[in-house]
Amino acid sequence: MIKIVLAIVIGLVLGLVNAAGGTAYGLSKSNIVGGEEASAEDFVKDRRGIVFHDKRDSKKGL
Amino acid sequence: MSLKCPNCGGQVAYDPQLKKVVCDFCRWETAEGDFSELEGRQEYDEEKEKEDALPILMRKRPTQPVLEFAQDEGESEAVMETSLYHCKTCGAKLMLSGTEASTFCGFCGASTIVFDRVSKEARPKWIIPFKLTEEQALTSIKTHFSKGDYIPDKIRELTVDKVHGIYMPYWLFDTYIRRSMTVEATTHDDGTFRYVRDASCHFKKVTLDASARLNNKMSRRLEPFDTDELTDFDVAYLSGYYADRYDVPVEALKNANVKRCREYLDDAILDSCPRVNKRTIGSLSNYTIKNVHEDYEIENVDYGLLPAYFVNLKYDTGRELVMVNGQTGKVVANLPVEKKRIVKKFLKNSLIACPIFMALVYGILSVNMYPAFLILAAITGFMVAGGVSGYKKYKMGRYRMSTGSMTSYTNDREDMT
Repeated sequence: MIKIVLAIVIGLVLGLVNAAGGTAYGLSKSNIVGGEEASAEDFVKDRRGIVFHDKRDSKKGL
Repeated sequence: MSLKCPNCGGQVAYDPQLKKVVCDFCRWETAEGDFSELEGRQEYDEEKEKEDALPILMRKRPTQPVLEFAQDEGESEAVMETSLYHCKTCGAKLMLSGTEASTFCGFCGASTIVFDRVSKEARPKWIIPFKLTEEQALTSIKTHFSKGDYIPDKIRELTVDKVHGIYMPYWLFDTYIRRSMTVEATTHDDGTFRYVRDASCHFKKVTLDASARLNNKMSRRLEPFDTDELTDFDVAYLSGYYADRYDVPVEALKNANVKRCREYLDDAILDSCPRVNKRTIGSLSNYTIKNVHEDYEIENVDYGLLPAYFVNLKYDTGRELVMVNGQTGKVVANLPVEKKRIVKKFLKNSLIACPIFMALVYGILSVNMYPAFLILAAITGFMVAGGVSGYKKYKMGRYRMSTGSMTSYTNDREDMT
Protein backbone atom coordinates (compact mmCIF):
# COMPACT_ATOMS: atom_id res chain seq x y z
CA MET A 1 0.00 0.00 0.00
CA ILE A 2 2.82 2.38 0.94
CA LYS A 3 4.55 1.55 -2.33
CA ILE A 4 1.42 2.49 -4.29
CA VAL A 5 1.03 5.78 -2.44
CA LEU A 6 4.72 6.58 -2.91
CA ALA A 7 4.55 5.69 -6.60
CA ILE A 8 1.55 8.00 -7.06
CA VAL A 9 3.13 10.91 -5.17
CA ILE A 10 6.64 10.65 -6.63
CA GLY A 11 5.32 9.79 -10.11
CA LEU A 12 2.96 12.74 -10.02
CA VAL A 13 5.71 15.17 -8.98
CA LEU A 14 8.16 13.85 -11.59
CA GLY A 15 5.44 13.77 -14.25
CA LEU A 16 4.40 17.35 -13.61
CA VAL A 17 7.98 18.62 -13.54
CA ASN A 18 8.79 16.82 -16.79
CA ALA A 19 5.57 18.03 -18.40
CA ALA A 20 6.41 21.60 -17.38
CA GLY A 21 9.94 21.25 -18.80
CA GLY A 22 8.62 19.87 -22.06
CA THR A 23 6.02 22.60 -22.34
CA ALA A 24 8.57 25.37 -21.70
CA TYR A 25 11.00 23.83 -24.19
CA GLY A 26 8.23 23.84 -26.78
CA LEU A 27 7.93 27.63 -26.43
CA SER A 28 11.12 28.27 -28.35
CA LYS A 29 10.27 25.62 -30.93
CA SER A 30 6.76 26.88 -31.54
CA ASN A 31 6.98 30.65 -31.26
CA ILE A 32 10.49 31.35 -32.49
CA VAL A 33 9.99 31.06 -36.23
CA GLY A 34 13.03 30.85 -38.51
CA GLY A 35 15.55 30.27 -35.74
CA GLU A 36 18.15 28.51 -37.87
CA GLU A 37 21.01 30.48 -39.37
CA ALA A 38 23.06 30.15 -42.53
CA SER A 39 25.69 27.42 -42.65
CA ALA A 40 29.17 27.24 -44.16
CA GLU A 41 27.79 25.65 -47.33
CA ASP A 42 25.89 28.85 -48.10
CA PHE A 43 29.16 30.74 -48.48
CA VAL A 44 31.46 28.13 -49.97
CA LYS A 45 31.17 28.89 -53.67
CA ASP A 46 34.60 27.51 -54.48
CA ARG A 47 34.25 24.10 -56.10
CA ARG A 48 37.04 22.73 -53.90
CA GLY A 49 35.08 23.69 -50.79
CA ILE A 50 36.93 23.25 -47.52
CA VAL A 51 40.39 21.84 -48.32
CA PHE A 52 42.34 19.73 -45.81
CA HIS A 53 46.11 20.16 -46.21
CA ASP A 54 46.99 17.91 -43.27
CA LYS A 55 44.91 15.24 -41.57
CA ARG A 56 46.54 12.94 -39.02
CA ASP A 57 44.76 10.82 -36.40
CA SER A 58 46.48 9.09 -33.49
CA LYS A 59 45.71 7.66 -30.08
CA LYS A 60 47.49 9.33 -27.17
CA GLY A 61 50.03 7.10 -25.46
CA LEU A 62 50.60 4.83 -28.47
CA MET B 1 14.98 57.98 -56.62
CA SER B 2 11.28 58.31 -57.34
CA LEU B 3 10.90 57.11 -60.92
CA LYS B 4 8.30 58.27 -63.41
CA CYS B 5 6.54 56.55 -66.27
CA PRO B 6 7.75 57.84 -69.65
CA ASN B 7 4.24 57.26 -71.02
CA CYS B 8 1.95 59.05 -68.53
CA GLY B 9 4.29 60.56 -65.93
CA GLY B 10 2.83 58.45 -63.11
CA GLN B 11 4.89 56.70 -60.46
CA VAL B 12 6.27 53.28 -61.36
CA ALA B 13 7.21 50.28 -59.18
CA TYR B 14 9.35 47.17 -59.62
CA ASP B 15 7.29 43.97 -59.98
CA PRO B 16 9.19 40.95 -58.58
CA GLN B 17 7.13 38.43 -60.55
CA LEU B 18 7.48 40.12 -63.94
CA LYS B 19 11.03 41.29 -63.16
CA LYS B 20 10.00 44.55 -64.82
CA VAL B 21 9.22 48.07 -63.69
CA VAL B 22 5.50 48.67 -64.20
CA CYS B 23 3.33 51.81 -64.18
CA ASP B 24 0.29 51.39 -61.93
CA PHE B 25 -1.68 53.99 -63.88
CA CYS B 26 -1.30 53.14 -67.59
CA ARG B 27 0.25 49.63 -67.20
CA TRP B 28 3.31 50.65 -69.23
CA GLU B 29 6.25 48.37 -68.46
CA THR B 30 9.96 48.08 -69.15
CA ALA B 31 11.63 45.13 -70.81
CA GLU B 32 12.85 42.49 -68.33
CA GLY B 33 15.96 43.79 -66.58
CA ASP B 34 16.29 46.80 -68.91
CA PHE B 35 15.38 50.07 -67.22
CA SER B 36 17.00 52.48 -69.66
CA GLU B 37 13.69 54.04 -70.75
CA LEU B 38 12.80 55.28 -67.27
CA GLU B 39 12.83 58.98 -66.60
CA GLY B 40 14.71 60.28 -63.59
CA ARG B 41 16.96 57.26 -63.46
CA GLN B 42 20.53 58.26 -62.72
CA GLU B 43 22.94 56.89 -65.24
CA TYR B 44 25.66 54.88 -63.68
CA ASP B 45 29.28 55.57 -64.41
CA GLU B 46 30.88 52.17 -64.07
CA GLU B 47 34.40 53.44 -64.71
CA LYS B 48 33.99 56.03 -61.98
CA GLU B 49 32.90 53.39 -59.53
CA LYS B 50 35.87 51.22 -60.33
CA GLU B 51 38.15 54.16 -59.58
CA ASP B 52 36.37 55.28 -56.46
CA ALA B 53 35.05 51.95 -55.27
CA LEU B 54 33.70 51.80 -51.75
CA PRO B 55 35.41 50.35 -49.91
CA ILE B 56 38.95 50.52 -51.24
CA LEU B 57 40.64 47.42 -50.02
CA MET B 58 44.20 46.83 -49.06
CA ARG B 59 45.58 43.44 -48.26
CA LYS B 60 48.05 42.60 -45.60
CA ARG B 61 49.08 39.19 -44.39
CA PRO B 62 49.14 37.27 -42.19
CA THR B 63 47.01 38.23 -39.22
CA GLN B 64 45.91 41.82 -39.56
CA PRO B 65 44.15 42.60 -42.79
CA VAL B 66 43.65 46.31 -43.14
CA LEU B 67 40.67 47.83 -44.84
CA GLU B 68 40.79 51.39 -45.96
CA PHE B 69 37.93 53.33 -47.29
CA ALA B 70 37.21 56.37 -49.34
CA GLN B 71 37.37 59.16 -46.81
CA ASP B 72 36.01 62.01 -48.87
CA GLU B 73 32.39 60.99 -48.69
CA GLY B 74 30.00 62.40 -51.20
CA GLU B 75 32.50 63.35 -53.86
CA SER B 76 34.94 60.54 -54.50
CA GLU B 77 32.57 57.60 -53.87
CA ALA B 78 30.08 56.17 -56.28
CA VAL B 79 26.98 57.96 -55.04
CA MET B 80 23.31 58.41 -55.81
CA GLU B 81 20.96 61.18 -54.84
CA THR B 82 18.04 60.12 -52.70
CA SER B 83 15.36 61.46 -50.34
CA LEU B 84 15.95 60.62 -46.71
CA TYR B 85 13.09 60.22 -44.27
CA HIS B 86 13.28 60.02 -40.52
CA CYS B 87 10.96 58.16 -38.14
CA LYS B 88 10.30 60.03 -34.91
CA THR B 89 9.19 56.87 -33.10
CA CYS B 90 12.02 54.40 -33.71
CA GLY B 91 14.69 56.69 -35.11
CA ALA B 92 14.95 54.85 -38.44
CA LYS B 93 16.39 56.72 -41.40
CA LEU B 94 15.17 55.40 -44.71
CA MET B 95 15.69 56.11 -48.36
CA LEU B 96 12.23 56.06 -49.82
CA SER B 97 10.40 55.80 -53.07
CA GLY B 98 6.87 54.78 -53.95
CA THR B 99 3.51 56.31 -53.29
CA GLU B 100 2.94 55.54 -49.59
CA ALA B 101 6.57 55.97 -48.69
CA SER B 102 6.23 59.19 -46.79
CA THR B 103 3.33 57.96 -44.65
CA PHE B 104 4.55 55.05 -42.50
CA CYS B 105 7.86 53.84 -41.12
CA GLY B 106 8.94 50.57 -42.72
CA PHE B 107 10.45 49.29 -39.47
CA CYS B 108 7.99 50.07 -36.70
CA GLY B 109 4.90 50.90 -38.76
CA ALA B 110 4.35 54.22 -36.98
CA SER B 111 2.95 57.13 -38.91
CA THR B 112 5.50 59.53 -37.46
CA ILE B 113 7.79 59.55 -40.46
CA VAL B 114 8.91 62.90 -41.76
CA PHE B 115 10.99 64.07 -44.69
CA ASP B 116 14.55 64.79 -43.59
CA ARG B 117 16.62 65.90 -46.56
CA VAL B 118 17.86 65.06 -50.01
CA SER B 119 21.12 63.26 -49.52
CA LYS B 120 23.92 61.73 -51.55
CA GLU B 121 24.26 58.13 -50.49
CA ALA B 122 26.86 55.49 -51.29
CA ARG B 123 25.73 53.59 -54.32
CA PRO B 124 25.59 49.82 -53.75
CA LYS B 125 27.49 47.56 -56.12
CA TRP B 126 25.05 44.68 -55.89
CA ILE B 127 21.38 44.07 -55.32
CA ILE B 128 19.19 40.99 -55.03
CA PRO B 129 15.85 42.18 -56.42
CA PHE B 130 12.66 41.19 -54.61
CA LYS B 131 11.57 37.78 -55.86
CA LEU B 132 8.45 37.48 -53.71
CA THR B 133 5.39 39.68 -53.91
CA GLU B 134 3.67 40.92 -50.75
CA GLU B 135 0.97 38.28 -51.21
CA GLN B 136 3.53 35.50 -51.47
CA ALA B 137 5.27 36.78 -48.33
CA LEU B 138 1.97 36.69 -46.43
CA THR B 139 1.22 33.18 -47.69
CA SER B 140 4.64 32.08 -46.46
CA ILE B 141 3.87 33.56 -43.02
CA LYS B 142 0.49 31.80 -42.86
CA THR B 143 2.07 28.45 -43.67
CA HIS B 144 4.68 28.83 -40.92
CA PHE B 145 2.25 30.06 -38.30
CA SER B 146 -0.08 27.12 -38.79
CA LYS B 147 2.61 24.86 -37.25
CA GLY B 148 3.16 26.59 -33.89
CA ASP B 149 1.40 25.04 -30.87
CA TYR B 150 1.30 28.21 -28.78
CA ILE B 151 0.73 30.87 -31.41
CA PRO B 152 -2.40 32.88 -30.56
CA ASP B 153 -5.39 32.57 -32.87
CA LYS B 154 -5.41 36.33 -33.40
CA ILE B 155 -1.90 36.11 -34.84
CA ARG B 156 -2.81 33.12 -37.00
CA GLU B 157 -5.67 35.11 -38.47
CA LEU B 158 -3.01 37.46 -39.84
CA THR B 159 -4.60 40.87 -39.36
CA VAL B 160 -2.06 42.84 -41.33
CA ASP B 161 -1.44 46.41 -40.31
CA LYS B 162 1.36 47.26 -42.75
CA VAL B 163 3.65 45.41 -45.14
CA HIS B 164 6.83 47.09 -46.28
CA GLY B 165 9.41 45.77 -48.70
CA ILE B 166 12.76 47.09 -47.53
CA TYR B 167 16.13 46.68 -49.15
CA MET B 168 18.53 46.09 -46.27
CA PRO B 169 22.17 47.21 -46.52
CA TYR B 170 24.74 44.43 -46.27
CA TRP B 171 28.49 44.18 -46.54
CA LEU B 172 29.50 41.18 -48.61
CA PHE B 173 32.90 39.80 -47.64
CA ASP B 174 35.13 37.44 -49.64
CA THR B 175 37.57 35.86 -47.21
CA TYR B 176 40.32 33.27 -47.43
CA ILE B 177 41.04 31.57 -44.13
CA ARG B 178 43.44 28.79 -43.19
CA ARG B 179 43.63 27.24 -39.72
CA SER B 180 45.78 24.46 -38.32
CA MET B 181 45.24 22.91 -34.91
CA THR B 182 45.48 19.84 -32.71
CA VAL B 183 42.21 18.51 -31.35
CA GLU B 184 42.29 16.13 -28.39
CA ALA B 185 39.15 14.15 -27.64
CA THR B 186 38.73 12.19 -24.44
CA THR B 187 36.38 9.23 -24.44
CA HIS B 188 35.10 7.36 -21.38
CA ASP B 189 36.01 3.90 -22.58
CA ASP B 190 38.78 4.21 -25.13
CA GLY B 191 41.27 6.85 -23.90
CA THR B 192 42.35 10.08 -25.59
CA PHE B 193 42.56 10.62 -29.34
CA ARG B 194 44.65 13.27 -31.07
CA TYR B 195 43.73 14.82 -34.42
CA VAL B 196 46.10 17.13 -36.30
CA ARG B 197 44.26 19.24 -38.86
CA ASP B 198 45.21 21.95 -41.34
CA ALA B 199 42.32 23.24 -43.45
CA SER B 200 41.51 26.25 -45.59
CA CYS B 201 38.57 27.72 -47.44
CA HIS B 202 37.58 30.66 -49.62
CA PHE B 203 34.29 31.98 -48.27
CA LYS B 204 32.45 34.10 -50.82
CA LYS B 205 29.95 36.87 -50.20
CA VAL B 206 29.53 36.34 -46.47
CA THR B 207 26.63 38.63 -45.62
CA LEU B 208 26.84 40.99 -42.64
CA ASP B 209 24.10 43.51 -42.22
CA ALA B 210 25.23 47.11 -42.30
CA SER B 211 22.26 48.55 -40.46
CA ALA B 212 22.76 49.39 -36.80
CA ARG B 213 19.01 49.42 -36.33
CA LEU B 214 18.47 45.78 -37.16
CA ASN B 215 19.63 43.39 -34.48
CA ASN B 216 22.43 41.26 -35.91
CA LYS B 217 20.97 38.03 -34.53
CA MET B 218 17.69 38.77 -36.26
CA SER B 219 19.35 39.66 -39.53
CA ARG B 220 21.42 36.46 -39.41
CA ARG B 221 18.18 34.54 -39.10
CA LEU B 222 16.96 36.15 -42.32
CA GLU B 223 19.88 34.47 -44.06
CA PRO B 224 20.85 32.69 -46.18
CA PHE B 225 20.40 34.76 -49.30
CA ASP B 226 21.32 33.10 -52.55
CA THR B 227 24.22 35.37 -53.56
CA ASP B 228 24.44 33.67 -56.96
CA GLU B 229 21.46 35.87 -57.79
CA LEU B 230 23.27 39.12 -57.02
CA THR B 231 22.83 41.51 -59.89
CA ASP B 232 24.36 44.89 -60.74
CA PHE B 233 22.65 47.64 -58.81
CA ASP B 234 20.13 49.80 -60.62
CA VAL B 235 17.93 52.36 -58.87
CA ALA B 236 14.97 51.06 -60.84
CA TYR B 237 14.87 48.03 -58.54
CA LEU B 238 14.14 50.36 -55.61
CA SER B 239 10.99 51.80 -57.12
CA GLY B 240 8.02 50.86 -54.96
CA TYR B 241 10.21 49.77 -52.06
CA TYR B 242 12.01 51.28 -49.09
CA ALA B 243 15.77 51.11 -48.79
CA ASP B 244 17.66 51.36 -45.53
CA ARG B 245 20.98 53.18 -45.63
CA TYR B 246 24.13 51.66 -44.19
CA ASP B 247 25.25 53.16 -40.93
CA VAL B 248 27.72 50.50 -39.81
CA PRO B 249 31.05 51.00 -41.56
CA VAL B 250 32.72 47.94 -43.04
CA GLU B 251 35.70 48.42 -40.70
CA ALA B 252 33.42 47.73 -37.73
CA LEU B 253 32.38 44.36 -39.12
CA LYS B 254 35.64 42.89 -40.37
CA ASN B 255 36.22 41.01 -37.10
CA ALA B 256 32.66 39.71 -37.12
CA ASN B 257 33.24 38.43 -40.64
CA VAL B 258 36.48 36.65 -39.71
CA LYS B 259 34.81 35.22 -36.62
CA ARG B 260 32.05 33.73 -38.74
CA CYS B 261 34.48 32.24 -41.25
CA ARG B 262 36.52 30.84 -38.36
CA GLU B 263 33.42 29.23 -36.84
CA TYR B 264 32.46 27.67 -40.17
CA LEU B 265 35.95 26.27 -40.72
CA ASP B 266 36.31 24.99 -37.15
CA ASP B 267 32.94 23.32 -37.47
CA ALA B 268 34.15 21.42 -40.54
CA ILE B 269 37.42 20.53 -38.80
CA LEU B 270 35.62 19.16 -35.74
CA ASP B 271 33.28 17.22 -38.03
CA SER B 272 36.34 15.49 -39.47
CA CYS B 273 37.43 14.23 -36.02
CA PRO B 274 35.51 10.97 -35.38
CA ARG B 275 35.71 10.89 -31.58
CA VAL B 276 34.82 14.54 -31.06
CA ASN B 277 31.36 15.18 -29.71
CA LYS B 278 30.46 18.75 -30.66
CA ARG B 279 27.43 18.79 -28.38
CA THR B 280 28.43 20.44 -25.14
CA ILE B 281 26.60 20.57 -21.83
CA GLY B 282 27.22 24.02 -20.40
CA SER B 283 30.95 24.56 -20.69
CA LEU B 284 31.68 20.83 -20.60
CA SER B 285 32.88 19.19 -23.77
CA ASN B 286 34.87 16.07 -24.55
CA TYR B 287 37.55 17.85 -26.57
CA THR B 288 40.20 20.57 -26.33
CA ILE B 289 41.81 22.56 -29.14
CA LYS B 290 45.55 23.29 -29.01
CA ASN B 291 48.37 24.69 -31.15
CA VAL B 292 46.12 26.89 -33.24
CA HIS B 293 47.69 28.80 -36.10
CA GLU B 294 45.61 31.06 -38.29
CA ASP B 295 46.17 32.91 -41.51
CA TYR B 296 43.45 34.90 -43.22
CA GLU B 297 42.92 37.51 -45.85
CA ILE B 298 39.85 39.60 -46.59
CA GLU B 299 40.02 39.48 -50.37
CA ASN B 300 37.15 41.75 -51.24
CA VAL B 301 34.25 43.66 -49.70
CA ASP B 302 31.24 44.97 -51.59
CA TYR B 303 28.19 46.94 -50.56
CA GLY B 304 24.86 45.40 -51.51
CA LEU B 305 21.15 45.69 -50.87
CA LEU B 306 19.20 42.53 -50.01
CA PRO B 307 15.41 42.25 -49.89
CA ALA B 308 13.21 41.73 -46.83
CA TYR B 309 9.55 42.27 -46.03
CA PHE B 310 8.69 43.82 -42.69
CA VAL B 311 5.15 42.83 -41.80
CA ASN B 312 3.37 44.52 -38.90
CA LEU B 313 0.49 42.41 -37.59
CA LYS B 314 -2.20 43.87 -35.36
CA TYR B 315 -2.30 42.08 -32.01
CA ASP B 316 -4.18 43.27 -28.93
CA THR B 317 -3.37 46.94 -28.58
CA GLY B 318 0.00 46.79 -30.29
CA ARG B 319 1.79 45.39 -33.30
CA GLU B 320 3.89 42.30 -33.87
CA LEU B 321 6.77 42.44 -36.32
CA VAL B 322 7.43 39.57 -38.70
CA MET B 323 10.28 39.58 -41.22
CA VAL B 324 10.31 37.63 -44.46
CA ASN B 325 13.34 37.11 -46.69
CA GLY B 326 12.24 38.78 -49.93
CA GLN B 327 14.19 36.29 -52.01
CA THR B 328 13.68 32.89 -50.34
CA GLY B 329 10.49 33.45 -48.32
CA LYS B 330 12.10 32.44 -45.02
CA VAL B 331 9.99 33.76 -42.15
CA VAL B 332 11.57 35.20 -38.99
CA ALA B 333 9.46 36.01 -35.94
CA ASN B 334 9.37 35.71 -32.18
CA LEU B 335 5.70 35.55 -31.45
CA PRO B 336 3.69 36.06 -28.25
CA VAL B 337 2.11 33.03 -26.59
CA GLU B 338 -1.51 32.29 -25.81
CA LYS B 339 -1.75 31.27 -22.14
CA LYS B 340 -4.81 29.11 -22.83
CA ARG B 341 -2.82 27.06 -25.31
CA ILE B 342 0.09 26.64 -22.88
CA VAL B 343 -2.21 25.35 -20.12
CA LYS B 344 -3.83 22.95 -22.58
CA LYS B 345 -0.46 21.65 -23.72
CA PHE B 346 0.80 21.32 -20.13
CA LEU B 347 -2.27 19.28 -19.14
CA LYS B 348 -1.86 17.10 -22.22
CA ASN B 349 1.84 16.51 -21.43
CA SER B 350 0.99 15.80 -17.76
CA LEU B 351 -1.63 13.24 -18.74
CA ILE B 352 1.03 11.34 -20.64
CA ALA B 353 4.00 11.88 -18.29
CA CYS B 354 2.37 11.28 -14.89
CA PRO B 355 1.09 7.71 -15.50
CA ILE B 356 4.42 6.77 -17.08
CA PHE B 357 6.42 8.05 -14.11
CA MET B 358 3.99 6.49 -11.61
CA ALA B 359 4.43 3.12 -13.30
CA LEU B 360 8.20 3.50 -13.40
CA VAL B 361 8.40 4.50 -9.72
CA TYR B 362 6.14 1.62 -8.71
CA GLY B 363 8.29 -0.77 -10.74
CA ILE B 364 11.48 0.48 -9.09
CA LEU B 365 9.97 0.24 -5.60
CA SER B 366 8.60 -3.24 -6.29
CA VAL B 367 11.94 -4.73 -7.28
CA ASN B 368 13.93 -2.55 -4.85
CA MET B 369 16.14 -1.16 -7.64
CA TYR B 370 16.68 2.15 -5.91
CA PRO B 371 19.70 3.26 -8.02
CA ALA B 372 17.25 3.47 -10.95
CA PHE B 373 15.88 6.63 -9.30
CA LEU B 374 19.09 8.29 -10.43
CA ILE B 375 18.04 7.69 -14.04
CA LEU B 376 14.63 9.26 -13.38
CA ALA B 377 16.34 12.20 -11.67
CA ALA B 378 18.67 12.59 -14.65
CA ILE B 379 15.76 12.56 -17.11
CA THR B 380 13.95 15.15 -15.00
CA GLY B 381 17.07 17.31 -14.74
CA PHE B 382 17.51 17.14 -18.50
CA MET B 383 13.90 18.15 -19.09
CA VAL B 384 14.10 21.03 -16.58
CA ALA B 385 17.35 22.29 -18.16
CA GLY B 386 15.73 22.07 -21.60
CA GLY B 387 12.67 23.93 -20.36
CA VAL B 388 14.68 26.72 -18.75
CA SER B 389 16.85 27.08 -21.84
CA GLY B 390 13.79 27.11 -24.13
CA TYR B 391 12.07 29.73 -22.00
CA LYS B 392 15.19 31.93 -21.84
CA LYS B 393 15.64 31.66 -25.60
CA TYR B 394 12.03 32.65 -26.11
CA LYS B 395 12.23 35.64 -23.75
CA MET B 396 15.44 36.89 -25.36
CA GLY B 397 13.92 36.45 -28.80
CA ARG B 398 10.85 38.43 -27.80
CA TYR B 399 13.01 41.26 -26.55
CA ARG B 400 15.04 41.37 -29.76
CA MET B 401 11.97 41.44 -31.97
CA SER B 402 10.03 44.01 -30.00
CA THR B 403 9.77 47.26 -31.90
CA GLY B 404 10.46 49.16 -28.70
CA SER B 405 14.00 47.88 -28.67
CA MET B 406 14.65 48.82 -32.29
CA THR B 407 16.36 52.01 -31.25
CA SER B 408 18.77 50.17 -28.96
CA TYR B 409 19.92 47.78 -31.65
CA THR B 410 23.21 49.57 -31.94
CA ASN B 411 24.07 48.54 -28.40
CA ASP B 412 22.94 45.02 -29.15
CA ARG B 413 25.57 44.39 -31.81
CA GLU B 414 28.04 42.33 -29.85
CA ASP B 415 29.95 41.45 -33.01
CA MET B 416 31.11 45.01 -33.60
CA THR B 417 34.52 45.85 -32.29
